[in-house]
Amino acid sequence: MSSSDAPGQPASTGRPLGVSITADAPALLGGALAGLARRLDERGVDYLHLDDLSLNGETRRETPDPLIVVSSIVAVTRRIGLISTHTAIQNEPFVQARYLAVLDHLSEGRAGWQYRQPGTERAWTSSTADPDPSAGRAGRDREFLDVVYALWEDSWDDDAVQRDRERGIYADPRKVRFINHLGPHYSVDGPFISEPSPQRSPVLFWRWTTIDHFAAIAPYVEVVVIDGEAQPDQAAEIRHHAESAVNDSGRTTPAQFHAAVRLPDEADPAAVGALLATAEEQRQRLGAVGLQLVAGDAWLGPAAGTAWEVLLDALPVNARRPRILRERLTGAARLGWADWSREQRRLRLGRDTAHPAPAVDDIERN
Amino acid sequence: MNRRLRLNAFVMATPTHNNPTQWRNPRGEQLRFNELELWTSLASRLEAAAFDGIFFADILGLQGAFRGNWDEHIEKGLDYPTNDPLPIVAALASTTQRIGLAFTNSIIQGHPVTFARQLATLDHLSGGRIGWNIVTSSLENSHRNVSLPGLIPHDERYRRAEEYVDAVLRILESSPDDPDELGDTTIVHHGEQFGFETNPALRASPQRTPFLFLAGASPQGQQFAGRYAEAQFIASPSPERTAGVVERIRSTAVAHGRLGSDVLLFQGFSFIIGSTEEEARRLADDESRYDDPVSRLVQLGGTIGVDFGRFDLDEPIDHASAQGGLGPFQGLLAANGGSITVRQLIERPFRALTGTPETLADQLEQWRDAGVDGINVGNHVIPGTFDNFIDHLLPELQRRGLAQRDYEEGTLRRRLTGGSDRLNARHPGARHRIAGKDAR
Repeated sequence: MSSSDAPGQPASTGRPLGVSITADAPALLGGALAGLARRLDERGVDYLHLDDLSLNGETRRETPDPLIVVSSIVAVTRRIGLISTHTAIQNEPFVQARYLAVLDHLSEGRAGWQYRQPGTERAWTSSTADPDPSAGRAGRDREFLDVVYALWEDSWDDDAVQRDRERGIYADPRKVRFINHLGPHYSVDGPFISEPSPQRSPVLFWRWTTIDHFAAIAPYVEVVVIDGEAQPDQAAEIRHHAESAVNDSGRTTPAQFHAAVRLPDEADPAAVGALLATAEEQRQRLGAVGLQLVAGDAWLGPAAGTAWEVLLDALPVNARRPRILRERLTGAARLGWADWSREQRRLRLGRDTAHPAPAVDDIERN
Repeated sequence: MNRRLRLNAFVMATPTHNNPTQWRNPRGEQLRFNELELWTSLASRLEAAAFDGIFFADILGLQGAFRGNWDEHIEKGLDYPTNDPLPIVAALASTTQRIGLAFTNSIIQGHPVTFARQLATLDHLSGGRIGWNIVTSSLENSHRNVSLPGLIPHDERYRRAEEYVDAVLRILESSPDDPDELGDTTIVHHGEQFGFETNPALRASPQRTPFLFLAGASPQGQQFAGRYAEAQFIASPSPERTAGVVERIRSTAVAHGRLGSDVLLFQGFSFIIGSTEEEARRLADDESRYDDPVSRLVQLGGTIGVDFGRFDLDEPIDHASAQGGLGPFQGLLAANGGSITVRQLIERPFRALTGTPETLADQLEQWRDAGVDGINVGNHVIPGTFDNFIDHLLPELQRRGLAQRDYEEGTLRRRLTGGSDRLNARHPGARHRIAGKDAR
């Protein structure tokens, strides 16, 4: 599971560097994205993120499913982290947790996800009837994450899987548990249906929107992405809220900040120097450790090749690059604070379902 | 010219699919089911052999309890754990070029808007090679994993399925060929289960709606499949008994305004192939060493939702409370005169089509002549079962015109049906198509 890279040394020495893609569908569904992903992978970029523009209320632009697109490049890359974008209203937490766990298995520990809320009222209703339009949204997000993390962190012990061909024991039933979550928005029995993946919980990114939303999900967020154009006092406020939210939750490892800097509309190699100087200045001004370059269509075609080479030559990347995404970003492959958050999740872990189902006859009479 | 059989590899991302507990077999590599490489190398092998498709089954939860608990399921790896095929299929879309990629996704699993977009994205990425196996989920635990209070009763499950499938097809079939028209295509849905207002996320994909597979053994299931299935799975006990099944399915399609030939019928088998009958029997004996009759009992009871662990060995099984997928169990009951005991179920022999390439091809010819259009090739071990099939049986099938030697051009639908890339006009999904917008 752990890579062969230098035991005992800090896994991550350079600054985290990611690329976020906001291109149109033909680039994402043709070969252009795979071509760029290979290039970034070879050059040691830490992660590739795919946003979901449908959540911005876009109805005139094509918006492929980010999880599918990201999954389609697993086989053509080796080390780069693969980050999709999700919101609670698209899938049940059990289904969402499973998609991401499978992505983490397939990619051998390179999965991450950005969690966000729909950006417009239209985007809320385009995905589903929102049962609780104003008050319940933040609470629903928190419950969604509570369930997802319970499935990832609490359902299977590390040593549950035996794969003992002689004795015929695949897994030890005493080490696999129902989670028995019963909350206002979701009820999920478990046990989780995928065994623990290399990271167990893929790395959770959050793109800054509002304090309220962050407060709801702060216990779980590992990477906060701040707009590079934010003012320093805004950034300080953001950091303050982020840090106190993390502290209030009892977590020990703080979230990491990455400054998002939009690449220009033209992929011009001659402009890269000035661009990087600005990006670095913004990163420092905001006190962020990592840099996230936001790339549009111009940066996906073959014509952008030279500009990328100049750009990547100038950026220091990690010399040691474990394959596991969390290890690259923080030095540890798995969360160090799952035990704390288990108490918060108030589960009735056990070897059986804790909530009896209504008899079928009762359902039929309703 | 001989009518060929379509061939799907029928797999699942779990320790062993359908043949417990073959994961113990040292010749098998399916214990690597979490690794993408197992699936990419299998898909490449199947594609080189011109298999029509690789088909991933799926499950959303534990099967029903045995002796009141789930220890057997977890300990023996009985369809558990199971990885969702969707990310696997997405990865295979970029490592393969020709082979069809089909997968199971339940109507309780997703939201129509989310799932329609996933399907459209996959169909674009794969160049029109996607198939969706529509299932209604018959497991209590599956329902309780997705915020439902318990198993939805059979009739209600199919009402829900109708709404879900119709909504997904409506979104997909409304997709315009010109992306500039996306914003003008608004879909408003106010149903019993779902309510939304949306636009198609993408321009029409090569198939627009992926090719639709269905099982469906119960009366409601048969009606549902008759309406929507472009290919239907059957579990017929013999070629002789198949004519009635074929007639029933084709007439159900006709009752829904379609042609009997609008539904392809796929029968599932696993094969054990020897160069002589004696070698085949020896190979069968070898694989049966890893067979576990109790695990088969757990799976069968778990599938139909009856805890066989609660019956005495020789007591006839009362299955009146069964809510699950009844198909395989009804086949066993019928074959046993309408009543069966736990002992009889345990003593069922290890079953696979066993023989030489010639005798197996003879049998498949009989199935083909009985009206079967395709075979789901199950496996005991991966990749060994498929290697044997491809190396030894497939050449004989190809020699007889029972299997294709290479792919035809076009989408999965065109290649399987010989028709067009898109749902034909008789399919209920086609009524959602925007008039005059379907040029292909």
